[in-house]
Amino acid sequence: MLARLLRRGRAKDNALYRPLKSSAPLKTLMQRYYLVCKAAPRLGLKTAWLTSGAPVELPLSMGIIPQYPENYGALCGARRVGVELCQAAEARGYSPDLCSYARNDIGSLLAPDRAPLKGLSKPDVLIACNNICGTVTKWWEHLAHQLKVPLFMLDTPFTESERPPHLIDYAARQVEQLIPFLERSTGRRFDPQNLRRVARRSGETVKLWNECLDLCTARPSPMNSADRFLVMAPVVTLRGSRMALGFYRTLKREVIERLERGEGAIVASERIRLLWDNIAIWYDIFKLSGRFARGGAVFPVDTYTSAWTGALDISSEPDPARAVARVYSDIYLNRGMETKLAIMERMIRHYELDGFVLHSNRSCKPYSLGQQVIRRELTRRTGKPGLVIEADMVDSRHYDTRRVPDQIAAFLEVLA
Amino acid sequence: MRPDGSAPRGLSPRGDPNSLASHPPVRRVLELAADAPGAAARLAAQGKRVIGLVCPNLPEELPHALGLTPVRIVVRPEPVVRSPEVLQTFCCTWVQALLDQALRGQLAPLHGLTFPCNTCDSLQNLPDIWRHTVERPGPEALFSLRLPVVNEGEAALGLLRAEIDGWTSWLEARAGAPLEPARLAASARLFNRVRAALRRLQQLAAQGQIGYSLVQAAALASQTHDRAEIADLLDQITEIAAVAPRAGEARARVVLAGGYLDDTRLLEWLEERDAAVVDDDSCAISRTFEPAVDLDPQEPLADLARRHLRRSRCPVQLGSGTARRDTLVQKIRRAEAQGAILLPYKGCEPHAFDNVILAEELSRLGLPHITLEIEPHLGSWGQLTTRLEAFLEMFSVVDDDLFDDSPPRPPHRPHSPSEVS
Repeated sequence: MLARLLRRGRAKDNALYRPLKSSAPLKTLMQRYYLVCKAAPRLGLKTAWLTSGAPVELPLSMGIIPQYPENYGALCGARRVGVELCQAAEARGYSPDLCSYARNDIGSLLAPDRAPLKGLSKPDVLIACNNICGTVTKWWEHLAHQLKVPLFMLDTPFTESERPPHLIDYAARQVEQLIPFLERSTGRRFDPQNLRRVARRSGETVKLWNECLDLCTARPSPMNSADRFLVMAPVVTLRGSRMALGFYRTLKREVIERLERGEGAIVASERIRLLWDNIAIWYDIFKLSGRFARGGAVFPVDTYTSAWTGALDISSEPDPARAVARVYSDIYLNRGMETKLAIMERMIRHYELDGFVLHSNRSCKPYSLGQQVIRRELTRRTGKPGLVIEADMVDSRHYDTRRVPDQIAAFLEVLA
Repeated sequence: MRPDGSAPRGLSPRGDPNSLASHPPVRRVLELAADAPGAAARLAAQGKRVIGLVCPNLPEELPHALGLTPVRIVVRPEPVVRSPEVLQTFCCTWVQALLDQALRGQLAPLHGLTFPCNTCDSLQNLPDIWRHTVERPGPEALFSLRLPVVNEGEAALGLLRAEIDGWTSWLEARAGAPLEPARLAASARLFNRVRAALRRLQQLAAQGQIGYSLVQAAALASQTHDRAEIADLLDQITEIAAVAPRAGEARARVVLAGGYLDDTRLLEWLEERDAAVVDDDSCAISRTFEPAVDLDPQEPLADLARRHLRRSRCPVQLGSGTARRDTLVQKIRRAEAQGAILLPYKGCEPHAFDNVILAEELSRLGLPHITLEIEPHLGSWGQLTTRLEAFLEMFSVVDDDLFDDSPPRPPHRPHSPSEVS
């Protein structure tokens, strides 16, 4: 499925892109992953559905296979079946104003025949963490209601400024409860040694991912946002596994080779470097990048794929639950606007960018609300112009295919 | 009085010298409810140091005990003009209206403003946007109080205690004085008195002695006005209402469930059409006055936290869909209601999610129900009432009175909420 997606996007825009060779091992890895997920119930393996910001290391260390409705939503969006699945949820009474990942996911349960792979396989447990948004609290409540499987909610309260210690205490006390919950719900035993091993691999994976991202400071940038949106899949879904670690070693080698050859992600001469903010517009990922690439514009960095850069280190922490609580509380979307502005400002300077593009994503309020202020402030602080594109990550009914190209063309003219 | 000897439903007809609305305490509460959007500015103009509260789940006894005046913010019934400059239209309509009011300077008289945090994504992002766009109340006058998404367990209690401690420090700074336990105990008694009176009014409405619109108005006034005066007014109203004649059998008996219903027109409209609201599970009415707080002088702040954990689940919390479903069905059965009106707020994700579970259950039980997405001050009134007319028709396919010359039916006397466990 992923391979088809890669081929489709790349075939049309071959003249604009230099495809990553790592796409091949990525394809193998993700195919194997989805195969195992689908076969898990028949093989007697336990699986968990997780939100993208949940501490996957814990279930992974207990031999529980993680599955990700958000990652699946991205695939459905990219395969352009998201609207149909969203409509299946809407027919059941879910408001079209709700997050399209949630509607897509619920739609895949209600109409599995219309869903790629006929949906994810039924999990034994659900693990959600609200560090990415408040929507997951309600969305996952509905999943538990429909699937009739136990749900663990890790509550990591949002903070506008510095995180006070009591918030870490609060999250840590819950993390301590996650282990007995998983043991009870799946019959799998927790082994602290296994957790250390998985956490070490997770930390190494995240470090490699960070290094790959940082290599994009080079001119020309060896990866574009569309590349990163695809190769991020293992760091989201399988960090802590040997497969993911191996993949990012391969990816890093390729990125370094590109740098040594002086090859950029786009074929055209790189003239404009931009920051992308928010989740990808999955159903238009290559066309959109192509519109920028034609004008010599590339995205060496984005706030989305940079969200998985917090490495879990439990080796030096006497209380592993606190280490998990700290890393998973402090992710990008769980921080206030000042932190986000500081991160984006640093990205603009560190990657020597010429401007930024904000995806006003009606399905992701934590990312999108406040973007008008961010645009103004970021321009004031960096002198760089910004563009706001209105869309939705999965539901293409909210995407104006006439207006957006005009906006991009006008923006690139300003930057040229 | 109507031909069957029963009283007209609710407060109508307006201007009737015998109606409940002719009593001065009732008139005063209705005036205060109608003025709820302007309450903060009015009280500030009287020299009160007003702390605006953006949610009913905040322990309002605390600012009161410090000599501050807690006022729940009710947005004005005006079109949104300024907020689209900084906020996308897919944001919750109530948050849009609130920010619009702030951008227009209408909340400038506030001495402070407290947001609930860790709730919905729209509210969570609002304070940051506010700091960059609203001049007054400025950043130092804003506070975000984090609430747990699961209302149980020692971890949740620990979080709440720490957050309430933090809020207390901020309030003490705004008040310029330390919190005194004796004053907090006195405030808790006063707020409990108001809550008890509101519960009593709710019982009287279920018995048909007052319209539920009066309960709503009293709840609105109780969150936006001087609590000492409100406590006295509500005590007087409960005495008047207790001896009021009961209304006759209603055309329909329904329970309301939904978001922040900030306008009494909807309930008055229903009452004018002889439909009786007999109970509710909404952010504007019953959820604002349950349960009472019992303060231990040794650790009163911990008891405020414990009260929060005893509250019914807010739609932003985990498990509220099934908890509210069970509550709604229980309320319908207890009040012998025939159906429900579901009022999720437009753009409110938590209510939209819960509404699916509520509507499915009502359908499963064969209970008539209607979902009306509401906006601040009810938004599209014409569309709303057209749909409600159609809904009420379900309860009166044949008008019995036209064909039936048997003696009038006795007024409906359901169990009051307190009579049935």
